[in-house]
Amino acid sequence: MCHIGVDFSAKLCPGTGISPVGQVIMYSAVWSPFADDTETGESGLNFYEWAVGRLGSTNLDSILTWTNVTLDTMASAFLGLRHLESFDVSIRATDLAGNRSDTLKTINGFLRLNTAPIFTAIDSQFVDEDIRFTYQVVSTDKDTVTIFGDTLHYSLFTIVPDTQFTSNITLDQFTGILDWNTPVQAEVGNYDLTLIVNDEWGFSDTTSFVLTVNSVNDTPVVSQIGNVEFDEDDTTSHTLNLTQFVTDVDNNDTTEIFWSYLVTPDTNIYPTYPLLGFGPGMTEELRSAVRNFIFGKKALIKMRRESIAISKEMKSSGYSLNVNPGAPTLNVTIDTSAGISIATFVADSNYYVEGRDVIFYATDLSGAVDSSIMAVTIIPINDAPILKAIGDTIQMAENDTLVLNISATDEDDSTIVFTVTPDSTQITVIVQDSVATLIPDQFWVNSSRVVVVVDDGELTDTTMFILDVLRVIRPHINLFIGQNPAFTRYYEIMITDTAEKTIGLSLIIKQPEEVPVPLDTVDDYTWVAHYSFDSTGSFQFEVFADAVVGDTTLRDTAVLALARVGRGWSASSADGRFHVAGESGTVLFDQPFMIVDSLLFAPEHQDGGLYRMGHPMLTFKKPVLISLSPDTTGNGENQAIYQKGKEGIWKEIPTIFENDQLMAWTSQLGYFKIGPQILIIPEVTALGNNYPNPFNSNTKIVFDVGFFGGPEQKVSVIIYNLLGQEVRMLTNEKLMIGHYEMEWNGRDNVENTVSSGVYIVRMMTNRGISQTKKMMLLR
Amino acid sequence: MTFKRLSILIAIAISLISWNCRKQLEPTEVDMSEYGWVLYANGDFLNSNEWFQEAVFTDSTYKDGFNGLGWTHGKLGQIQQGIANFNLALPLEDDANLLGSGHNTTQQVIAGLAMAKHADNQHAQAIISGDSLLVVTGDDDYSVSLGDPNWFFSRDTKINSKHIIWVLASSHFVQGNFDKSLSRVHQLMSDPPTFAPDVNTVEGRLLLAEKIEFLRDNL
Repeated sequence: MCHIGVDFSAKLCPGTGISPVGQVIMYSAVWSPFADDTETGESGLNFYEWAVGRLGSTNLDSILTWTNVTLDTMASAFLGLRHLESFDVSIRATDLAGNRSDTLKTINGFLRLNTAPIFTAIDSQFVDEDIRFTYQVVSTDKDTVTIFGDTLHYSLFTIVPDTQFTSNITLDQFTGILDWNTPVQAEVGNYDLTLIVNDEWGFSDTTSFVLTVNSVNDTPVVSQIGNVEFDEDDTTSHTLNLTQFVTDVDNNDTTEIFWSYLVTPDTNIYPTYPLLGFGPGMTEELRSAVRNFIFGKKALIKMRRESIAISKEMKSSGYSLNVNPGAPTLNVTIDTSAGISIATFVADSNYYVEGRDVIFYATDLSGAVDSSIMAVTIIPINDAPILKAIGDTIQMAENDTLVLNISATDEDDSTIVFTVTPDSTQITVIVQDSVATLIPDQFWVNSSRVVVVVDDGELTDTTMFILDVLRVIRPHINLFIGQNPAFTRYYEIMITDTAEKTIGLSLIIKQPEEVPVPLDTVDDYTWVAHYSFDSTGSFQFEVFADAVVGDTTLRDTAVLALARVGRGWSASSADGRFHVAGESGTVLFDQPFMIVDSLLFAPEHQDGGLYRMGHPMLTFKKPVLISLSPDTTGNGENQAIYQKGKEGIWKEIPTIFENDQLMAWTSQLGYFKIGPQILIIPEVTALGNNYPNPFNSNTKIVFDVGFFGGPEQKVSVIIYNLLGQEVRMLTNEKLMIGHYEMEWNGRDNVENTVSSGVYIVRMMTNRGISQTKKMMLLR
Repeated sequence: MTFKRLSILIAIAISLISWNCRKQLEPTEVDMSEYGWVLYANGDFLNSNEWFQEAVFTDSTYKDGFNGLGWTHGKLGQIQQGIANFNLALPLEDDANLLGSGHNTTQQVIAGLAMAKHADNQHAQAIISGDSLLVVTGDDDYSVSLGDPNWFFSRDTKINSKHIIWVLASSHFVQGNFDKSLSRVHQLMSDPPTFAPDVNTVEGRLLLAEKIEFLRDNL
């Protein structure tokens, strides 16, 4: 028996013509043993060989060449038989002698038939937008192994979208991998896909399924936002169009994207926290989305706990607090009023930073967030120091010291230098750090403009003020004398200080030795003393009033002089520079009066006066001789004594400079000072030569009433003839010191014309001066 | 005893001797005292004082002698002795010889005490004496509009009640009684309503002191 079989299921004997269909793993042949009878002298079978070839072909090598199968009567092999081709099996045997038998073939061969590939059904597939879709298409084909060259090829037959066609789906023809890389938002929808699988022989299968691309929200995409740089304290707006940096396929970039920002901590300012801020339209849900995006939920919860613990303020402000609220920082605001999102960068005054990161977050309506980090650089600009206002005017007391605390702020510099410069050289200034000590000269009273400058080495600030050094009111001492009416050597002395500045008072009487006199205080700034004089003479009462003038103690002296009624008297100022002498009769009774220097003048009389003698409204009965030491800065001969009249105007009084003293007569008490000499004063009383002489009708008779003749000289000028008879009295009266000219017209006392001849003019004074001159009258 | 005193005594002795030739007369304390007042008026306070001493030596109860001693000691600057003599005079009876003479010794003693206490810085005592005199003389309510006061010092007519009032004004000031001082000053002024300083202020006290000084020389 001989047959040839295919696989297990079909046994095809040669010549049966039954064709194998589908997957055939192994072809086999079984035959009956060939006869080679040894008994007949044959050598016996040595082995069998089998071969498979195309039907009718003698060439067997294309399928299975002769293959030794020993003495088995069954052989099998994997054979790549082609579809619709017929094959036959050949078997031959060889004996031990090497004799080969005839070839046994199948009669009609057998026809090899291919089977079609079959798709494994594909269920509906779903993929989210923006997610790559891949799917391994599965198909089966029984022939893929056994039929020579039978391979599968896949292809997309149709894509039927419900809305949007796409060509982005591919199907690998060899691997059967369906790939969509990647469906985008525009490709959302259902797609009916029909696939075809073909084998090598044109057999195919198709299958269809629905691929659904689900719509998934797209995160907005924020591109790199450019950095911003501006100067410190630059007040111009620094804005950034955020909208231009975002794209969102799902949302309107302008109206459906909402912005937030996070200003990262400035490590130069400790401590700071990130400053998170939200632009318009950021609902609480969107804010939460941003916070989650930034911190993550766990961190956010932790921060919330911390924020509650730190302060309510932090809680109320969200999660981004600057716990150093006084520190300058960078502020960002977002404004959408213009239809786009504009970020505005505003730096606090004097704030600067190098590359402070600011992160902008774009959030769409669904809470998808994307961010971009940018840097803000604020270039430091040196700030000028700023002086704190000092005030327009500062008043200080004479002799006082002004300690001025100067304050200035400078945001940039820790080292600033102050200079304080008055325009008066009489103010000494010591500046140490920010404390200026201004020390006006002793007793200097005036105003000075003081310039204060603060300098940081590059920039300055300047201010000025007027320093008024005010005269401190001195004790205004008034001393009055009450002489016992009966026992006249006993005096009550009453002293007042109407300025109420005296802190200590003492009284001495010079006669001429100094005798201290106890003082009793009877009331505020009112003192009394009691004194008796053991001898007659001139006395000076000197009152020493101590008072605080600024930070020094000033002692002023007032002299009480006593003008005597029955004898000559004199008195001097405490410093001896002012002297007064009176003759008997200058007062009606012993009269005390004070001599004070200018330091004790009331402020309204601080107009240059040097001394005050008694009350300005009082007069002596006769002129007294006053003398003043001249101003040593000038020539005494060019100086004169001036006296302030009752009307308050200074007037020069006739003054002589003699023995280094300026001397003048006056009957008026009051204020005296030194001024330039204008009046020319004759020193001696003398009769001059008349002119013309000889004369015809008139001649001028000149004479001087001299200073040393006394203040009120009674002068007579009388014309006599040679017989000694009085012809004409030109004057006979008290004349003041000065130069006089009188005219004689050649007439006698009754206006008769006198004859030609020699006449004598005689000048006589009550001081015993008598001088004559001859005159020649020619008719 | 000075030569001057001796010569005066010799002169008196000679005259007494000569008078004695006709009638034996001895100078009485009144004579001595009156002579003392003559010298007082001439400003010879030293000799005047000695005659007053002689007077009281002659009659230790002669009031006017002590009165004269008080005034002359005061003039000589011996104010304590003056006060002592005034105090001795004060309790004594007025001498009969002076009654009707225009010399009221008691008033003069009181006036002298006022002056002397003022001079001796005993202002409280001066005020007591001064007030007393003015009451006695009826010049307590004196004002310038009344003309001359009732009392004047008959031995030195330049002294009168106005000076006592001035002393009171001065002493009140020294005592710190400025209101009373001002009242006394007003008595010495012809137009007191126009002078009304606030003596509670230093300025007012200045004006008051100034007025006291002025009045002293213009009584």
